[in-house]
Amino acid sequence: MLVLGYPFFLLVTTAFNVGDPLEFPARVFGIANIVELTDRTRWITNTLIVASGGTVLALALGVTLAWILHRTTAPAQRLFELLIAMPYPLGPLVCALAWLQLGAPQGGIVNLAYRAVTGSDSSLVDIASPWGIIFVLAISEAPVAVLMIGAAMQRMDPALEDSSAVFGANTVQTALRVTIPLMAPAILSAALFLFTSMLGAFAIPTILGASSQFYVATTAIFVLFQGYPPNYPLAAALGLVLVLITATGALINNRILRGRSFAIVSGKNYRPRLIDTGRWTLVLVAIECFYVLVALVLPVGVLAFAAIQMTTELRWAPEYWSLQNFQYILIEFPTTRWAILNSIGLGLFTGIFGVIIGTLLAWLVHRSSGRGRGTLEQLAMSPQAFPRLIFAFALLWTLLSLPFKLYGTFAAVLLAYLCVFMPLAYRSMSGVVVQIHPSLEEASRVAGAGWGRTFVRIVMPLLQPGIVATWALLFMVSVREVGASIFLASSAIPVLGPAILNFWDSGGLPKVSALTLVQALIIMVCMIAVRRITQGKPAIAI
Amino acid sequence: MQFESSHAVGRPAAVLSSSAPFISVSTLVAGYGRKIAVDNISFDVLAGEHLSLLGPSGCGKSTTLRCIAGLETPFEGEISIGGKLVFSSRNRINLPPEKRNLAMVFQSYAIWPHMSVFENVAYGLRIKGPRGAQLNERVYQALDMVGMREFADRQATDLSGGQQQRVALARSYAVRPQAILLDEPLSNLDARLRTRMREELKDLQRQTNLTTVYVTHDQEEAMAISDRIIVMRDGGIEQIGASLDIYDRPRNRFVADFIGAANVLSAEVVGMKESGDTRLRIGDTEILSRVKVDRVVARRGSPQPIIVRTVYPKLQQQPFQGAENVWPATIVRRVLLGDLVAYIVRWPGGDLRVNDFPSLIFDEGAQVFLHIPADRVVMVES
Repeated sequence: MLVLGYPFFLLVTTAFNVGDPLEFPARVFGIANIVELTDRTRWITNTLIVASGGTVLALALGVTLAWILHRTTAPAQRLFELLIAMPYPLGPLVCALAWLQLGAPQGGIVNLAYRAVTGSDSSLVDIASPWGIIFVLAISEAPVAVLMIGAAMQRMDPALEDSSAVFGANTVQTALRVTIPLMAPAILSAALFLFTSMLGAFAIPTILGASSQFYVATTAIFVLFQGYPPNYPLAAALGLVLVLITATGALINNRILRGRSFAIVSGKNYRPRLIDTGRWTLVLVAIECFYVLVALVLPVGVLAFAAIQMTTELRWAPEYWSLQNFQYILIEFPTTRWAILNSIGLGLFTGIFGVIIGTLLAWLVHRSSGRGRGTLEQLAMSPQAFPRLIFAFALLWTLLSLPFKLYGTFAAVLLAYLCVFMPLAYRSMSGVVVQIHPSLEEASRVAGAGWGRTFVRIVMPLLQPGIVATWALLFMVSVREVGASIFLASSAIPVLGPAILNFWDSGGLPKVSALTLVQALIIMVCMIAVRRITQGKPAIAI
Repeated sequence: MQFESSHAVGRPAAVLSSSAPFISVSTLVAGYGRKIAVDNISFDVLAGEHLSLLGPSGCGKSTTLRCIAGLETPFEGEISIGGKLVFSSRNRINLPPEKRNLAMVFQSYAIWPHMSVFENVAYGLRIKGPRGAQLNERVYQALDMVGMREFADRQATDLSGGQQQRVALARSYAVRPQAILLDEPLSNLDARLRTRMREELKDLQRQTNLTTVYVTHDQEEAMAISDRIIVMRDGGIEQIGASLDIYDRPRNRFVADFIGAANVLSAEVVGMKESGDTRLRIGDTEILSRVKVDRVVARRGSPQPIIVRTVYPKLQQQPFQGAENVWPATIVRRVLLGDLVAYIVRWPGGDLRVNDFPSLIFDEGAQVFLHIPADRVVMVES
């Protein structure tokens, strides 16, 4: 409570601080910062434009891909399900850095190829633009939409559509009058989830917006923070506005999820009647392949290609290739070496503590009959109102105002991760806990086992697959984390996300690509290992 | 699996003999992926007839129904409805469900949760039927049939299971379909409500006289609701016949066991009496049988399963006068079931389950006389 509340208190007070800008908490209050913000509405509108555009595009992708995966006879459903889910855990840095090399107006591979083919000297795409940001946000977040909408599609009783057909409606009428209205809550919920997470996106707008001076709220906060002198009050005011927008989105989403009286009536998964797509199958597979190409194969391929280059120019001739970049980041350069180790360590511990806290919270909320259950759940979910970057920004001051030194330690970053990922841990473990019927525990108690034995022999084994999946989820989101780390991971405790961003500023593309590839590899190894352990059940639960 | 062509036996002839087949299913093969769920079955549903597909889960009855509705595409075969071919693997005809002009009640009711009761019932009518006042009239008329008029404006999610069931029925009757298909419509209701809905359904059927195909795994339901029953097992048809006919003359052990309660006994043919009854050896005694199902050939010395329904044997304290198939017997066990008393009776032929009315109750260990009328001893296929 204090860990969440005090940073928020500092954020609010600083936003209204008109006295000494470096004083926490502030003493002199006024609305000057808010007034100043009205001159900079560009930041807010940019944020809203990028987040809305990204949401619409990701949603379009999500609905299309989920429909192809779950409702049509298009082949290789399981393979595509896996491939389409991959870009999300790999994280925003992979897509952003790769697409910077693919779609830069001058040297981008796509544009070079376009010029070579058409002979024109213009560019096909300019990724370093608002459009580029929208595009990359959409392709890297689309897997969430596929997952959420796909889950809802699988939980809809196919008899609802069947009966519409029997009563005379053709496929289009059924879609318009039954399927879409029934899917609406899930789609709306996915939209709000994507929108709030895109509001707080940091890595993608940083990488793609920097050259054109296109700022969104998060990147503007970072610039205000880094400037000299740093303008904390204005950054806080901006942060507060963003928190308010995000919180509103999260609140509406929770309302929808709570009021989901239909579409997801049972937890049961149905086997819907698949639509035989006939001659269109090829088109649908092409759409799936195109997404996998754009969001996974090209990005990872380009990073791998850039990582083996000796110079910043991309060359096809093998004599310009070497593994020196990997040697540099893994062995020679201590900052990146430590960043990799720290990130793995943070991933491990965020996973462990996150699972423990998540399980405990889920158990208390779903099993106890106490009065504070609702409040507890709201508390567990409250960090979703904060974009991660802003939470870290506020937590930073909290840490600095502590009487003992916590800033710049492993524990500080761990604390930040645990806070920002608590909703994820809680929701993921809740999904597992609610599936275990209380009678299973009761049967154990009646059979003479005490509370402890019941927990060890019954509850733990039943929870185990869920625990593995939740742990892996937390590990992956920690390793790919940027926004929360950027303020808290100082030079004393480097982690991967900020290290990649700093490197991108200074170190040159080949080395950045190598480091990003290492990050992607760590995540992929974790994904594959977990799929082995949980035998193909999806490791991501939203 | 071949089916018997003798299914007309015992049907109320006056109503049905003049009717032509309305739904005709022939050599139907259907399944999922490579798994075959329905294996080459053929049957007809006559106009105005109430037919049940009865069998344990996985016997292919629901798949058959969904093929008729057009919700599954069969691998092979032909289906025609009202004289029109709606599916034919040979002629590559496959009419989509919306073109078949049927109505269906689903096991889960499939009441659209985002619509009111009125809109649910009006759904099929809005697509091609009447508009305005006429539409309202049709909807309310259908709701009246099931006694749900006052619920018209309710949201569908606010209804109980039984009410949803009624709305699903109203929705079906409102469109005035060629035929109505019901897929285990009562299986989600509790026992008491199920019995009541069964009776209501029967009344509605009488009112509308619609051709009905009813899928159920509950033999009582099938008996109560239908003119004819098709018993299915493992994708094939075991027997087709009028309800009482199937009860009294089950073709084999499976049908005997599945419908009602029966003693299935192993006997051996000894010979014939002049009266035409067959003499069979069972345990330490002989029993006479007057009934055999179609394909049984009673050959001397061959083993012959016989079935005796539990309700037909008679028990009494005094000897039966002038009757055949009478033995002294002992009551081994007695279970009070409320409306019935279930006995296990030891007689020279072995042990027999007998259900009797609780008017006269024997104690365990009591010595009684057992009489099994010869026309209730049925020789069946093994």
